[in-house]
Amino acid sequence: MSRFGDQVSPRRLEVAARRLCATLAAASMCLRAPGAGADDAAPPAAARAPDLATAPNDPLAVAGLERPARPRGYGGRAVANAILVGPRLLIDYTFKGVEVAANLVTDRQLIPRYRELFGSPRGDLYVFPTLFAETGSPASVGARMIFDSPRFLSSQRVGFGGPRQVESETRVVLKGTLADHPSVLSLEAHYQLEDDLDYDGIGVVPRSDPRNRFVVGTPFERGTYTERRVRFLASGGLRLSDLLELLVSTSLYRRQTEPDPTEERTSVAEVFEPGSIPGLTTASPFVSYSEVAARIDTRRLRNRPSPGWHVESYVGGARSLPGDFTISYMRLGLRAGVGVPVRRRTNVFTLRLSIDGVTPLSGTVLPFVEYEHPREFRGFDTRRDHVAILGAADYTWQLVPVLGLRLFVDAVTFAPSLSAVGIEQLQNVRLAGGFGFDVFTGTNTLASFVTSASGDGVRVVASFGAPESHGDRQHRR
Amino acid sequence: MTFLRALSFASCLALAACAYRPPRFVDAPAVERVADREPIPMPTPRRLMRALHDANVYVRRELVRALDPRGASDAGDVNALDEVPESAFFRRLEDLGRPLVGFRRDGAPVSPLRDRGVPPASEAPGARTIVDARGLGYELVPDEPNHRGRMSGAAATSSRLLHAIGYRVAEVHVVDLEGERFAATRWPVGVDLGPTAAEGTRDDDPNDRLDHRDRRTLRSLRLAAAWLDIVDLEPRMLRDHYLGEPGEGHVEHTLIGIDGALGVGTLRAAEAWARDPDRADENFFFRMFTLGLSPIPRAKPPVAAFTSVGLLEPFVLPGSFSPSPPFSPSDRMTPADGYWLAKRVATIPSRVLRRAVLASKLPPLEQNWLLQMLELRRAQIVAWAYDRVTPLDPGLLSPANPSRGLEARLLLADRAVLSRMTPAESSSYDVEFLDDEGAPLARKRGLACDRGIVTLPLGAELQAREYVVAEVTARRAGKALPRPVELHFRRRGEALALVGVRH
Repeated sequence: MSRFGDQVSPRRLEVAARRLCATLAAASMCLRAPGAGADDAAPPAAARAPDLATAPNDPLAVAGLERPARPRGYGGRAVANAILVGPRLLIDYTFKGVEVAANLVTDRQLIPRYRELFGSPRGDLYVFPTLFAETGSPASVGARMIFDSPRFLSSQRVGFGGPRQVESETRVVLKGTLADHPSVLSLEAHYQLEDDLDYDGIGVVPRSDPRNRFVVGTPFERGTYTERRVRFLASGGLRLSDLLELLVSTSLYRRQTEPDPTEERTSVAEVFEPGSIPGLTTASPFVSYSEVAARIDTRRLRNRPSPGWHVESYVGGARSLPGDFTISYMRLGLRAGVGVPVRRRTNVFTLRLSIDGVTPLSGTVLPFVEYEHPREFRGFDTRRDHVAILGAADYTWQLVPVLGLRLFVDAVTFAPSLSAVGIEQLQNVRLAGGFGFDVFTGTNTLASFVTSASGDGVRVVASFGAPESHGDRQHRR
Repeated sequence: MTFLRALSFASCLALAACAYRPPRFVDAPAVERVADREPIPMPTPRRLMRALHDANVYVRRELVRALDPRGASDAGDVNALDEVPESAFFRRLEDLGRPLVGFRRDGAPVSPLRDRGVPPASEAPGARTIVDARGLGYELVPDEPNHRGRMSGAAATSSRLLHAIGYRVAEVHVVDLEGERFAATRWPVGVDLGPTAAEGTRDDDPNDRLDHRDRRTLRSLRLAAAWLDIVDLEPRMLRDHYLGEPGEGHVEHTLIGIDGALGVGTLRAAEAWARDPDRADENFFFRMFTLGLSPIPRAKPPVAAFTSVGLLEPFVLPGSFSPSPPFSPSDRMTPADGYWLAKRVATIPSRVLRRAVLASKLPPLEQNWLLQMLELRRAQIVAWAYDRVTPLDPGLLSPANPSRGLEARLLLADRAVLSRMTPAESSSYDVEFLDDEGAPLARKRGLACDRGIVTLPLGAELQAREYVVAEVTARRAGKALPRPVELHFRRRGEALALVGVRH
């Protein structure tokens, strides 16, 4: 018996108090509700303004607190929070910043002004935060903002991964018809600064390729460099049918390269003989490059796994403006892929093959950055050559309507020319296999997370944001 | 070595800060209304950016949650008695016995009607906006062919029940026009400003100062949705609207377009699943480990009890009920938030439930069935929430009467016992008295109880203290419930007065 329970009280008062309390509790639970019918009409005006205890709009004042509680385990959580607050805020504020920007654009009547200017009655603004993280590289955060209307599309994109990892892109796309076929005209300005880029040398086995001159006695297989790229691009696209697209583009660009500082990284200057890397200079000239491409695509959705097939072929030529030296080359390539449903349309097995080739013209030297190097390869491989061949097999299946899983194998090899593809290329194929998941909406991929393993190690790539869905192939370079 | 020392120091600090310290309440009446409807300039209407919303809820929200070890804090729109005061989000329940009072403001639309020609906020299939003879705006959503009354009845009933809980809800009436049945939602009221943000606040509304994730009304909306089987809680359904003349009005936050409630959304989803030739197995892990190659399950077309009602099951699992798309405030629902909502649901009298169902204009047989389903689901929701806290609420505080040898005492009502969800014989109660820093003042002891009424004695030695916290924990069949109820007392004159309650 408790100390309080030991107290003696008059029985009658106790019973009365209990009855009263039970009645109050029951009344509050409406076991016997006061009032008559459950009329849903508004109460009379006089009953609407009771004298209520009103608090200023502040949580502590509303709660009537002098001091909030300190929960159990607060200290441990605070320590864990101090560790995790950085990455959390990075993700959180990336999104919030984009949201604020989107609201600002909407509030400041920019969209109506676009509409006025181009006379489009309706339009949609899409703002995507972007996050790209990869093992061995700094994470890049940014945003892509797209305004899309029936006749006009504007896209701004910025990305930041550190003082020497910056990217910015502005595009304007005008949509219309040409001879009754849907067409687009696109103008773009693009700037990118990127350091810590790997250069292994040229060839499928750079160490034994006579085109590379390694510093005698160097233990390193590759060095790093920095690239600054500026590009102005104009392109046009014409959809001749639901499946067939023709694409023409011309660009003026400059790619300046230099070795990374040797005190920070293993620079290419430490690995290769001075002057042996073709085109490693900041004095490179502006280059004009034009390309024609054709694409046939039967897939229902372009930005997420979908059954169907596609073939794309392109040919392009480049010539530098007058400068310290001349650059002139031609590109030719083919991409093909087929996706087949397996038991369900949401399970898709995809095979892809891409062959890209580049050859210098008129006896000029081809800068090393222009050699073919497929960026789509999901393992580690920074080799390059005149011809790059990539094969990929993917199997994706849907777990829930917004989440899919993926298994894949990639294989890549290089050759000095297509006719030189032989046993050495097959022996030196680099394989990468892995798994990942994609987060997507009905038509687009929002984020993907891929882990791959290859001979050079494990690579984890997390990308987040709007997928590339460009009409011309030059954007993928 | 320096690092180890720093780590040890940080660990000591963390351990020292691990102990619980209760909140401290001021000695003031519990707040019944929040002054969050001051005149403001009219904010700019906004529309939902779907891609941004999807990226937010499916990616950012999940990542940020995974990286946040802090857990949910107490809700910020709760008064000293652990109740939600009237605000721009929640209306005042003036008479608990008549919670539907105030639902009907303008009534059904009055003919003749004319089209407004603007897109409906509800975005429901076939919906259109109209203006009635009085110049009031409505949204008309037609019932599906061969299912007369199914959607409109669900909207009319569920909107009334959400109003009865205390949510601000657009009034919905079932109307028959030219042989067709519609749900007529009185909307917009004032100026529609677009969807209410699930996170943060509206930056152009100075009255909106509390992160919406910390609003109990929004946190516990998931439980109300579980009761009414609202499986689709689209962001368009919670809306900001400006009431009053420009510059003199304020923003309120209202629920609209609840046409998928009472199993209608469940039935639509089940029908879509049965029609889908690619339908997958219901087991997530089976789908994952079979690489999506599991056999296509046999399609069993869903069969509702009647053609004019949804697929409303008599059983509900409140803990795992999660509407789609994810609703951020629900992630932070604490047991106290759930208990509050369950109390609100439990206090709706059965005859009010009948009134709400009557508004569906369904045939009597369907109404009776719907009423039984709602009662069965309500009991499960309430029982689930009552099991996660100690469901005691304070009643009468009797002062000490030395001449009769009586000490001060507070009577507490055990809602689970009084509503006959738990037998009184299997319930017992412990109390531990703490000071305002959380230090024990006396040993834990048992409390006397009589058919759900628990007596909390406040002896003379406690009366002398400035601040006392009583932590009362209920036991069911000897097993303690997960959370105690905290009762905070401050000395007022010569006696202790109850100043705060936390579940």
